[in-house]
Amino acid sequence: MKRFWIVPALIALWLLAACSSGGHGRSVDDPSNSLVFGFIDMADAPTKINGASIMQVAPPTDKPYWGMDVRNGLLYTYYLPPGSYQLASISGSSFWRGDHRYNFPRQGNDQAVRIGKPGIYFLGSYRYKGVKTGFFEGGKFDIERVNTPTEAELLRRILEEDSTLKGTAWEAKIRQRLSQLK
Amino acid sequence: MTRVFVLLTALALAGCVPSALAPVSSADGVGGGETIIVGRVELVPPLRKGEQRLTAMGTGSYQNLMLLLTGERDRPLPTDPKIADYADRIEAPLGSHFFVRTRSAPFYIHGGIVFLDMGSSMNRAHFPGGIRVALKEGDRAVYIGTLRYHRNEFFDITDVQVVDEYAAANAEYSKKFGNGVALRKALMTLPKSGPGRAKRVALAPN
Repeated sequence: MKRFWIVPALIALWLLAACSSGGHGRSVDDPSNSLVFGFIDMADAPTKINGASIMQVAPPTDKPYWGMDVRNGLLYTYYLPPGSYQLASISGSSFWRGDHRYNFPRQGNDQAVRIGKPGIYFLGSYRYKGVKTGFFEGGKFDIERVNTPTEAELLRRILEEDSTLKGTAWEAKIRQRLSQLK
Repeated sequence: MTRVFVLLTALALAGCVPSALAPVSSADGVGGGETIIVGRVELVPPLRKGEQRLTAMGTGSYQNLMLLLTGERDRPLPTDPKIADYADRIEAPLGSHFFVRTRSAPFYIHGGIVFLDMGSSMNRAHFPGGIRVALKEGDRAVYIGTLRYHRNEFFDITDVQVVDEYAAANAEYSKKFGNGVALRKALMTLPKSGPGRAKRVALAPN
């Protein structure tokens, strides 16, 4: 079982905002872009998700963190150039529990993708599981793979909920992928 | 909070943990019943710029360094090593020979740790062990070989080898310690099953 670190910190959201930027200035219609998406059910987590970042691990770059759009557990970005990526962190806040950042490990991280050619890449759907720790230990969590929502359900959500995609190349590409998944 | 946690970890490693095996630069510092061990750890490919992000105060010394956790008995490297697990570690600068002294008795390398992030988050990569170092009573200086870890960009370990680079190591040893004490070759031995070989790389379909 892999364990992941939780960091309750007010500064976390600021750091996330400072270290990652959504598209790194790339056009949404850049033909080398890939759409990478996934889902995490945070029902058992201290907070919901309102931020996420994915780390570029290859090729090397001075700006490895890419921000992801987050919509009710759905995480995605459609700006990634070819390379290798892994989910770096998700973050959220609640009135009672404050701000949290959930860090994913750099090694043994299954939420990873190697993009050779531009396309649509599904990281999978997961469910958050808390892990009991000692009083002086940092918080930890685990995530387990689940079968739903499916790739098709999430792609439909992206089309329905992200109005900025209307009229872009992604609208047609997502519809094409959906037709393959039927 | 994150930075405080990372700082505490760094301070713990720097100050509170039992000491590492002491590096030696001359034979004078080696007592009876002690052996100089000479070896090297190599990552293939080596760490690239930006793969280690050690930004917390006092963590710079972990740059390009692997901590080899050792012990008298063979046991797996813990997922979350406790402070005591760092006792008698070898602090091996990646790609360079290390020269440390230890008791003249066989021991095991449980595995290695490289700190990848110490700053806004804490992340480390683990390297498999179960590796036997066959020191004998009376050994004064022993070459144990190069421990070569092959890995991919996700730090999945794809192969582990022990490589004999005795000639280069002996030349460096002689330059440092003179020719008074011969460097015996006793290469580390990997466990028969192979530690963590060819781990699965989980990639999204398509």
